[in-house]
Amino acid sequence: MVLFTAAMIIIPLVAILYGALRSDAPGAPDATWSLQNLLHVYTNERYLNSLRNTLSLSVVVAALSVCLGAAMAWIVARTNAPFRDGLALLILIPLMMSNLITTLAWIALAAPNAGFINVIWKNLTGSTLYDIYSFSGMVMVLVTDHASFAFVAFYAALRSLDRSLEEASHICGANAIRTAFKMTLPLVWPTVVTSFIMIAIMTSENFSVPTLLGSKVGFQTLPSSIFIDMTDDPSKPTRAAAAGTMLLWIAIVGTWWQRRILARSSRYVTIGGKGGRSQPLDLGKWKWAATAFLCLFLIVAVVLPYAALFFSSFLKFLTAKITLKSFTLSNYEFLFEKDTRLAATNTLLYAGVFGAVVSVVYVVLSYIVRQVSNSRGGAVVEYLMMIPSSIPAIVLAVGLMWAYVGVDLPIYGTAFILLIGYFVRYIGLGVRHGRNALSQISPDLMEAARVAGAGQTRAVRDITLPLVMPSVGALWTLLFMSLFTEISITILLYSSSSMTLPVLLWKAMAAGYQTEAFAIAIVQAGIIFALIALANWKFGILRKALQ
Amino acid sequence: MSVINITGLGKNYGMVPATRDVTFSVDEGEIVAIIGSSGCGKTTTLRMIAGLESVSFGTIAIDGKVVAEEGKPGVPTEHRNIGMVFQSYALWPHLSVFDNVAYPLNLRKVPSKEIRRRVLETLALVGLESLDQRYPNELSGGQQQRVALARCIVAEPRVLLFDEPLSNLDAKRREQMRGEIRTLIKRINGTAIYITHDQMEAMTIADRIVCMNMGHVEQIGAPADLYERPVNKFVAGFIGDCDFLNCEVDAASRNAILSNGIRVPVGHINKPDLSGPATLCLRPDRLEVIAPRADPAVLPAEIVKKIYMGPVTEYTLRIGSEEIRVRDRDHNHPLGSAGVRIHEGGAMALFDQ
Repeated sequence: MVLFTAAMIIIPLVAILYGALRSDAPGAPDATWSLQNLLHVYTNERYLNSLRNTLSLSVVVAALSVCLGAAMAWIVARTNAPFRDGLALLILIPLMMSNLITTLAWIALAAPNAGFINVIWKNLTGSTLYDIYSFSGMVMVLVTDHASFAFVAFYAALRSLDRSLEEASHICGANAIRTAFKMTLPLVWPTVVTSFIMIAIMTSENFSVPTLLGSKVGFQTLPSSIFIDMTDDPSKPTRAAAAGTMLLWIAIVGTWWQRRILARSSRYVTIGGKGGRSQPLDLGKWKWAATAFLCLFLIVAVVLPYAALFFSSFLKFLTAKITLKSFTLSNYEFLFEKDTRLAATNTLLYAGVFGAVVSVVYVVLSYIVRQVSNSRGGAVVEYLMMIPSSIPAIVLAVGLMWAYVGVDLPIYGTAFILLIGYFVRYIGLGVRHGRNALSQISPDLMEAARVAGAGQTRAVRDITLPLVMPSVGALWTLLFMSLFTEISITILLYSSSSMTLPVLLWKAMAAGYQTEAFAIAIVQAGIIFALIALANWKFGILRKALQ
Repeated sequence: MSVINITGLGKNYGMVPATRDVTFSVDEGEIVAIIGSSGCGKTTTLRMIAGLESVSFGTIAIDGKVVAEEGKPGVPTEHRNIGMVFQSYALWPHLSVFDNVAYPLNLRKVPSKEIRRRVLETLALVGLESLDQRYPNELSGGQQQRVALARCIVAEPRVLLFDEPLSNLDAKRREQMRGEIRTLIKRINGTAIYITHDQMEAMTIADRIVCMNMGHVEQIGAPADLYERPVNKFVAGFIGDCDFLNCEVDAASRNAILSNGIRVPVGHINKPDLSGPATLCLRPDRLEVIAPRADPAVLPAEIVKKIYMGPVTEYTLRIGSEEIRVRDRDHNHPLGSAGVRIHEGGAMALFDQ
C-alpha cells in the first residue's frame, strides 16, 4: 500500500517535468525532447507578468490576512470582549467554505452592474460603490478566506504561550502595550512568518479567484495562465507543464523557507507548552468595539455575500432594475435536469463514498508510516507523504494529464483520473490528521487489552477502532467539504460522464448563466453549512480546530 | 511452591543491554516488589513477564510452564493469565467503568449473569460500588486507580503485575493506597510483582524486595534484610537513608577505624571475615547527639548545621574532614563540639564487591 501510494505521488511529478521537456502534446507523432517551452515560459513577457501578478497578489493577501487574523485571535484569546468564544466558532466558517463558492457570492454582492450593493447604491446615488472585478476585489475575497486560517494559527499560538512570561514582564514594570510588542509579538513571531508563507503559497496556487475575477480586467496569475493554456483552443499542454514548473518553484521555495523557520523556532520552547488560563485583558469600554470588530468581519465575510448569493439565485438574470417580475424559481428547476442530476450524483459519490474510503485509507497509511517511521526508509516515506500538500492543485492536474493520457488503461477520461488526483491531493492532510489521531491513543490501552486476554486482532477491534473512529469521521467531514466543491483538479480532468457540480457551476458562469450558477452555489453552500453544523454537533470539529 | 520462576533473564535493545542475569522466584500468595531508580531495568523486567517485550536471554516460567525463553516467540500476553495495573492506569476511555472491568471476563466467555455479579463484587471490593456507569474521564485519579485495580483482579488471574501504580497520586493518597493494595492482594491470595522506585512503598507492600541497579539484581530479601543487612553501598543508600565514611575494618574486633584513628563498633559487615579498607554506613535515625565526652563508644564531632524538622532536628556534624547527619528528637544541642552515640544497627561496614 505504501509503495502504491509512493508511486501515485511520484508519477505526476515526474510527468510534469517530462511534459515541460517535450516539444508537443502527449501522443503527437513528431514530439521530441526540447528545451523550447521552458525557455519560452521563463523569458516570455506574458508568463513573467503572470509570475509578477501571482507574487504580488500572494504577498498582499498574506500580509493583510495575517494582520486581520492576528487581531481577531488576540481579541478572542486575550481580551474580555463579550461573546468572543461563540464568535470564534463562526470565524472558522470561511475556512470550511470553498473559495469558488465564496467568489460567486461576492460576484452576487459586488459585481459592478448588478451586484446587490451596487444596485442599491446606484438607486441612491447613480454611481457604482465597489467593483469586485479588480485587484482589490480579488484581495478582498482571498483575505476574508485566509484571515480565518491565520486566526486559527494565532489563536493556537497565543493559547499555548506561557502566560507567566507576560506576567513576568508586567511585574518588571512594562505596561500592556509594551508587553504586547516586546514580549508577545517576538514569541509568536514564528507563527507570523509561517502563516504568512502558508497563506502566500495557498494564494499563489489559487485558481478560481483570479480566473473568475481577474480575467475581465486582464489580470492573469500562473494558475489562470496554465488553465488558459490547457483549455483554450488549440491547447498547449507543453506550455502548461513548463509554466507548472514555475509555479512549483514558488511552492518549493515557500515550503523550504517555512520548514527552516519552524526548525529554528524550536528554541522558542515555550510555544507548544501548556499555557495556563489567566485573567483576560480588560478592555474597558473598548470591549464592545472589539466585539463589533469581530461581528463586522463576519458580516463582510459571510453574511453579506451569502445573503446576496441567496437573493440573486432567484433572479432570472442579473440586472440593475429589479422588479417583482425579475424573480423566478427556474434556476432551481435546472437542478432537476438530467445533466445536473448526473453531476450531483457524481459529486456526492466522490465526496461521500470516495471521501469515506480515503479517510480510512489515510488513517491506515498514517498507522503504517508510524510503525516504520524509525527505520531509514520510514523517514523517506513520511517525507514523501507530505509532498503533495505543497504541489499546487492545478500543477498536479497537468501532471496527471501528462502521466495518464497515453496509458492504455481506463484512467484518463474516466472518473479514475479524478479519484487518483483527489487521493494524491489530500494525502498530506489525511496522513497528518491520522497521525494526530493515533498519537492520542496511548499504546498502554492496547497492551492493557492484551493483558486482559485479547489477541492482537480482537484488541484492535475492541479498543483502537472505536477510539479512532471519531477522527476518521472528522477527517471524512473535512474531505467531504473539500471534494464537494473541488474545482482546480476536476476542471482539467473531468469528462462528460464524470461531471461534477462545481464544473457545472463553472460552465454556467462561463456561458453567462450566472443566476443558474448561483443556484448551484446556494445548494452546495447549504449542504456544507448543514454538514458543518452536523459534524460540529457529532465530532465537535469547530471546537477541536480551536484546541 | 513457586508460581513464577525467572532464571537468567536479560534484555538487549540493539547492542545495548537493558537488563542482565535477573533471577528470582515468587511463591504462591507472595508479593515481591522490584525496586530501583529509573532506568534500572525494573519496568523492562515486568514487561517481559507480561509478554509485552521479547526476552533476549533466560527463561520465565509460570506454574512450571515456560512462557518465555531465549530465541523463541513465547506464549503471547493474552494466554499468560495475568492481570496488570499500568502506571497510566490505561483505562479505555470509550468504555464505562463496568465495561472496563467486565472486559477480561468477556474474553474468558463467562456467562453475562456471572459477569455482572463478579464485576459488581469486585467494584465493591475496591470501594467503587455506585460508580459502575461512569466513564473514566468522570473519575478522580484515585478512583481511576481503583478501577484499574478492579480490572486487574476481576478474572482472578494467576499473576498480578503492578507497574508503579501509585506514582500519579498525591502523597497523602499514595500512603493510604499502599496499605489498601496490600490488604486487597492478601485477601484474594494473589501472587504479585510490584514495581516501584519508592522504598517506603516497597517496604509497606511487599513480602520480599528485589533491589535492582543498572540492569542487574543487587540483593533479594525481606524488607528488614535489605535495611539491616545490605550487601553493598548501593542497597544501603537506596533502602533507607545513609551517610558514608571511609574506614578500615578490623575483622577480629569487629571495629571500623576511621581516618583519624577513632574506632567505631560495627553491627553488620557484609564480609565478616575480611579486614581492610571499606565504607562505613551510618543511619541518621539510629544515631544520637550527646554532649562531648571521653568515651571510646562516643564519636567526637562538631555540629556545623541544624535544621528544625518538627518531630526531630537534623544535625550535620563534621568528623575529621567528612560530614554525617543525625536526626535527634532533642532540638536543643548548640552548634560546636558534640558527641555521637551509635544505637544498634546504626553503623554498618561494607566492602566493595
